[in-house]
Amino acid sequence: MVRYLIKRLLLAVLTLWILATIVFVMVNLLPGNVGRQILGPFAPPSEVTKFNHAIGTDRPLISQYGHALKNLATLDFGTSYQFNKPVNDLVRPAMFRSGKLAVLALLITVPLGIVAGTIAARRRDKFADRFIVTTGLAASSTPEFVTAAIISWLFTIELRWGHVFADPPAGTSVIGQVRYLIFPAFALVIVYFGYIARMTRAGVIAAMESDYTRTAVMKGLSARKVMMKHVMRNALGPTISVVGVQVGYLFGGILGVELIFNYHGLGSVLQAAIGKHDLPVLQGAVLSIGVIYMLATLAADLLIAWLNPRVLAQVKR
Amino acid sequence: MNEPTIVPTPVPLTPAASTPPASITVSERKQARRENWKLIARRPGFVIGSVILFVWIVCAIGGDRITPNDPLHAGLVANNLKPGTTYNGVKLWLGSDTSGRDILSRIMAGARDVLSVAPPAAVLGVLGGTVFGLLMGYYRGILDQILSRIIEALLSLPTLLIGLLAVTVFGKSNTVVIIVVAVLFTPIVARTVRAAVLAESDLDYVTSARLRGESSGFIMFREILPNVSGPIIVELTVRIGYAVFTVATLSFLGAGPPPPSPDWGAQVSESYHIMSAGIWWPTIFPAIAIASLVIAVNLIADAVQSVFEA
Amino acid sequence: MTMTPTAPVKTAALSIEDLEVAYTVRGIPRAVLRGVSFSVAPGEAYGLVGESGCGKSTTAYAALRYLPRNGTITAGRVLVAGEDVTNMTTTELQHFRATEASMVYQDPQSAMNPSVRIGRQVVEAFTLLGQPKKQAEESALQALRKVRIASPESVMERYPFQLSGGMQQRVVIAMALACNPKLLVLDEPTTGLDATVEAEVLDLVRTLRTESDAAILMIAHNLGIIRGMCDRVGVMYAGKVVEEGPCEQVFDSPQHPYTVGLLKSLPRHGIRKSQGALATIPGILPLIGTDLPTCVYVDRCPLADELCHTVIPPVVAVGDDGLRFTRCHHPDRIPEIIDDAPYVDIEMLAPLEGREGVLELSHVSKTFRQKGSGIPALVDVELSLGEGETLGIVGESGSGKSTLAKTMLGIESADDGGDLSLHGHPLPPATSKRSSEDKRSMQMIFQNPDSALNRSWSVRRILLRSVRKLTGITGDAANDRVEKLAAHLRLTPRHLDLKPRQLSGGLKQRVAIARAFAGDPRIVVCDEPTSALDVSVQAAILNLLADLQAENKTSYVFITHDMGVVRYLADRIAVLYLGRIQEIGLTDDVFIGPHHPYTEALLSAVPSVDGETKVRIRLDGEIPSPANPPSGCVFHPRCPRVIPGVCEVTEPALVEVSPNHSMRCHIPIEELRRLQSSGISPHAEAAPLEPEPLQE
Repeated sequence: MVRYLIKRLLLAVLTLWILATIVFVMVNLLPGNVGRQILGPFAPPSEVTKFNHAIGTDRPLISQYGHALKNLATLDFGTSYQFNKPVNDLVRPAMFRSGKLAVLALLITVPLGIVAGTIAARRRDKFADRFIVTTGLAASSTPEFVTAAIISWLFTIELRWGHVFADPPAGTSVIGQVRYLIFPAFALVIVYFGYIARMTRAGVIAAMESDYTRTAVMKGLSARKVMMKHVMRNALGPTISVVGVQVGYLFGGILGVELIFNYHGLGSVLQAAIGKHDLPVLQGAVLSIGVIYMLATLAADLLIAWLNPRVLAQVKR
Repeated sequence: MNEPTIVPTPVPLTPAASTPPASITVSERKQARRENWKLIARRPGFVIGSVILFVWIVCAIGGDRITPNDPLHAGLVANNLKPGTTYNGVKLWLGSDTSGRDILSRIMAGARDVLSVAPPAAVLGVLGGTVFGLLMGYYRGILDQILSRIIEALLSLPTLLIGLLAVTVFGKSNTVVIIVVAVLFTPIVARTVRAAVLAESDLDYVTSARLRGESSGFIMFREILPNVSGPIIVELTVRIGYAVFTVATLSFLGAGPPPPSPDWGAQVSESYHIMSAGIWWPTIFPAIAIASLVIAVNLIADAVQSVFEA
Repeated sequence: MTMTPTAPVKTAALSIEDLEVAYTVRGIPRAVLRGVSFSVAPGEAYGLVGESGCGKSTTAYAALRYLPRNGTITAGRVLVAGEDVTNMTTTELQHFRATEASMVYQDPQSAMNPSVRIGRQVVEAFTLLGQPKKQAEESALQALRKVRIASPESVMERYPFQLSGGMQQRVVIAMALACNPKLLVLDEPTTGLDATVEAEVLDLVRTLRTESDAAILMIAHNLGIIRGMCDRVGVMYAGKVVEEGPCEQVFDSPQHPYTVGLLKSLPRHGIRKSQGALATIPGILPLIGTDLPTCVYVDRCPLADELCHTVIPPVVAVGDDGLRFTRCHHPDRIPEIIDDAPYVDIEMLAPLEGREGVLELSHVSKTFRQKGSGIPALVDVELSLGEGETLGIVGESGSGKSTLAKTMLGIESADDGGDLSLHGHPLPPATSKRSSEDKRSMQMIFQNPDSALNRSWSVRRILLRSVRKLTGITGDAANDRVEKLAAHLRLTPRHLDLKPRQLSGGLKQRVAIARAFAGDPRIVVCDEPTSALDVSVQAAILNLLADLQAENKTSYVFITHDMGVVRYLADRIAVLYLGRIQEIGLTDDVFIGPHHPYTEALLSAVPSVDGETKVRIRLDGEIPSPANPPSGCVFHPRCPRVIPGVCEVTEPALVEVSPNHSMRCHIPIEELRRLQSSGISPHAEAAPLEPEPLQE
């Protein structure tokens, strides 16, 4: 297990490095003069030069690249151009707020998706299956901001069940916060439910059709025991892996939901950063999401390895 | 629980698995394929999807020639009129937006924006992914290892974020969006194609081709490619759906075509903040348009998948 | 329906009565079983044989009412110990499976849950019987001991993938026997296992039979296994039992034309290709759901006449003991199709001397690199292949026989230091470095034609491409050659425009052979070319290969695990073990002996359909990993004739023990001859199996 963990961590670090390089290359392809872009067309040239020197864009690329990697290693992404504040002071609170929303969405969507997928697999080709698969497909193919807009209109504007502005006032209790966040989370739940349900369904069907399930049935186990003891354990691998991957996607889709619900998470920070070419903030946000994604997939892989001993054995060989 | 539902097939005794005489098979096979297509055509999802897609394609081709009013005419009518209002003899089925434009006309015209960007982006992405997938799956080794790492890194980012970053860097234009989306899809498609090619290149016909001295290019593109066309076609239909998804979201987040454009995502983006004031129609109708298109494409993709993976 | 003359229903452990099963494919129910009836008495073993698609497995699964999602029992009954399985409720069925009947499957690895420890899986079979956990654990240990697993405690801690195939099957058998079933169904329990492991598992089942009175229903495509294991046998064809009776009687004097055809297509009694072609069955098994109103075999039967096409054949009792029957209008005419004429010994191939060596391998080794360590797959192979000669390569999995083939062809490059030469000129190790003439000269026929033919190409395109690429002929001349080639392989022009999936297995293999012969090769490497085919199709392919060789003087390297096939086709045989040639010699010398102890074990592991009695040589343990070969003679840990103090110290050299017969053994040839002719088994009782150490 330790060896597997080390190996997997090394892979994660390697992947993060590649990611940082890609972001670095992209940001440096940005045409024009960063100082001029930030300070605007009326700033005196000396100011622009001074600014460029201060933020280091006049240094050789290789030195900037080294700096970017150092930033990644220390998880310190420098200073925001527009606010002249440490990036982390901007990104971390936003990340925390988005994280709350994401976690709430995951807490609802994962069990719901697994249960629905299992029901669909067991009622294969019957109405319940068709219904779950088709609604799941429709839901997961719709962009988050569209779902969010429709939900916001239906539930918070027409029905007045929730808050149009999802930002809870400071000092709101946990339960109170959940009340604020439930509808934006619901928009995310609808989108990710389809993926999880479909993946679970496929995994459960494959496990139900396997020879070991046949053995379990032929042993005379009850259908419930066959499901609990033999099918589910082997069926959930792909689902867990999808959940891990989706934590990353969730942080993409969350932007649209946050804007629709006027929630001040990463979405608004990123939108402002893009508008102002605030590259350190952009880099910091993107790489922070990369780190979260890495941790999520790592956790998923470890969980899979724990469920399926063959994965560990293969690493040992 | 009903016993047979959890029962797998102990013996693959479908006619395909047995060894039928050629005389019977030819007609049986053709018939089977025809029956399969008939089965899809009968699937309600496929029918609904096709009808919706057809309507949007007509709108995209027709453009402002078939819209009831000029989609770009600001101040055509008063602002924010409710759906169904008639104003100065102009019937507004879906109401008017904050600039006094006819929402129905804008939605019809907006089909062109998304349909001229999403499908080309998907096609390019699938082409790129196919080439990379073939190279990685066939050559394996160090090339595959390096590209796989890069792909994993690319996949570790929400597509949208990279898209936003790229559009910020390269500027807003349809070409940029097409290329950015295609580049974002390439690794995803490459991963699928690579898996199919890996399985395929373990088969003995590839060994046989090497034994008679075929070049790698021939083996990849002439021998292996036709056999992985199923997953590629499925991937293409699925990718078109995601392209619509991505393009719409990019324009919602402000990386789409500039303002007067009737782009759906842009319409939502312009008007969602007045929804809290009860003016929901400029947001919800374009949102429904987006949803209907992505769902239609995905319903078709789902049906195609059911044939090619059968 | 006619009553079949079987044991009385009341006492039967399993009684299947006029069972009909249909599979629904594309909305249409298609008949798979068309009225199967037989019964098995307590303590009796009943075998079902037949080619793939005849319905034998469906019958076995139907006996426990386990059918695929699209399968339904449309008529008939299944009685186990008098209880009708077909109308049990779900709960009754569970109870029935838990306490009355069990099954052992093909492919034991996938039959066990990959993520649950062996212990829990075995214990589960006992807790189901109502045993408390402690007692169930004790029972599980005992059950594992019963299947001769020596250290059950450690096996219980493992996961299925940590056990070898033979051990896995033992565990599955232990689980099946947990409830002391009245009926035990064995579905191809040793298919996919190595010959020596198969022999061990069959020995175990045979021993267990004496300890229990379970009725056994055994499915196997290998007639020899059924003969060795069962009391009675039913021969199935197209969903019907066409002949039934005691094994010896059915196999020694078949009474149904299909049984006759099946038996005649096997290479038996040490027959060689020089002694004549194998018999084949014309035509092909009807598809499931095909309308077969009269005799199911009528379209392929050499005795079929007007009567057979119009009237359902009666069930004809054979003999007076009521144990045998055949479903045939003309059992009296069976002698017509049993060709008893003794095989004439035509010319045997002249010994190797004086014949030109086409391919020579000297000191050829192949080491695979994995994670920095070397895994020797071939060690110091010396071979010479004569013109028009067939060299058979035999050995179990991991012996390196496929690696040897790939190394010859350059698919894998031999290690530095070895030499390959073709017609006297050196051959580069990698295919890509070889001249087009060298490539043309050496071609390959693969095991599985489905994998070997590009499924999106037509047969014509497959052949045309090979003709162009290998001969350089283009245009109409190439087309002509394709058509000639196809005609030669008995493919019709119509076949040329089909895709491989539209052809039967036998036809596909013909296309693959045609492709290999597209450029008049001098050497064709055949990698188990018939092991994926049914025996009647196998016979046709073997005949074809023998004909092509006689015409073209092509040399074959023929890899197989089937000793009957290799004896029929090969002129010389090389026996491989852990990448080393242990014995090489003329076919008769290798078969008649004295043999290398490993060859001796391999030969004695073959279950024979003729029921020849011979001394069984049992091997201990499993084939070691090539990554970590034993010291000294690599065979010494399993060798029944090991000389302590010698064999584990030095590796014997491959020395010529008689003309054209070489062996790698410390025991002098005369001593081997004495030991092997004395007929005394080298050891009395096989030691219980120790699980091999986990591979770290």
